Amino acid sequence: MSCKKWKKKLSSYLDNEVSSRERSKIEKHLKSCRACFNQFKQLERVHRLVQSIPPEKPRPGFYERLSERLSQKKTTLREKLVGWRYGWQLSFPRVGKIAIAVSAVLLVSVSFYIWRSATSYEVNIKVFEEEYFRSQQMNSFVGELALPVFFEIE
Amino acid sequence: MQYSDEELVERYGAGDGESFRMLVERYQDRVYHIVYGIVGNKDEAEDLSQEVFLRVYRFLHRFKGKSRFYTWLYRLTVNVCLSARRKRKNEPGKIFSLADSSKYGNDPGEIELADESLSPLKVLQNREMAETIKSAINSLSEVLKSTFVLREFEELSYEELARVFRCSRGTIKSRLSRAREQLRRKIEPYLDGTV
Repeated sequence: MSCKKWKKKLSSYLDNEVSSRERSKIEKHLKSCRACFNQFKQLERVHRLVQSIPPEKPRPGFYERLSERLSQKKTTLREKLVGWRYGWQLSFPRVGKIAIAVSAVLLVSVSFYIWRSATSYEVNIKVFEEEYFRSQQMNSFVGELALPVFFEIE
Repeated sequence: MQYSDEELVERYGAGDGESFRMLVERYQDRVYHIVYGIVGNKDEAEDLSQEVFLRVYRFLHRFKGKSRFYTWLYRLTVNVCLSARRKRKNEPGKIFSLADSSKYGNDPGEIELADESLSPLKVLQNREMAETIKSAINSLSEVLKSTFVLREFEELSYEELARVFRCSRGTIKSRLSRAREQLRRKIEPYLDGTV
């Protein structure tokens, strides 16, 4: 393998992200190749220098400034549409959510039952009306038959 | 009581607003450090770090717990930084200088490499070295820089990095190798005699 290929492996070797087999191969090569060894040492040095830069921290009161931004933030239409679930999550604890869900199911069931009852009552009225009209027609039919007979009698 | 990230997310989902505060306070320094490493100035880092947590606030319900919380958070962080970078590029007249020395190096304690026993000359040399390193990191492409920063600052494994960037482990390996090689070449003159 050429040095170019070995050099590509030095970064993952530095990060200890190579298999033990690969590790021993790289180490063997580094012992025999001065150029690759020097390059590895330079990469190691760069790594140490980067690590020695102290971490940057935000100014104190980060959360307070964030809260302020959160409270000032206007809700966009998209958020209104997409974020409803979030609002739901924040507004109620889990038990409350279950209670609301059960109530909603009950409400729908009761409404459906009432609607069905009302509909079936209407059907009964219609049936009743039809029967009523049919009986009326029958009466008038009987009357029509009866009259000539009556005249004939007279 | 110390809750795990996942417990805090769960509690937050159940309506415990305090959990959000705990998550922010747990990660604000790390997120800020990453953002600062990518964008390179304090005002921008503050603004974008807050943007990251605003998105956490808005989209935490989408976190399904399939990966670790910090992987999700760091992905969000990188996305915020990269989209800010793209936005800046599209704004005429604004140059997104990550090596803004006026904001980067004015604070005397900001770039000092930690060693109190060093002579003033050595401290100065170290400051210069830190500046050089920051400038070299800054010169990397956005993707290389983000990958490098997460590896070096947060010590994420290749597996975790692959999850953050949604790419293969091989891609991460290649990106880090290229980033380090570019840095090494830029810093090489300063590394003489330090090996």
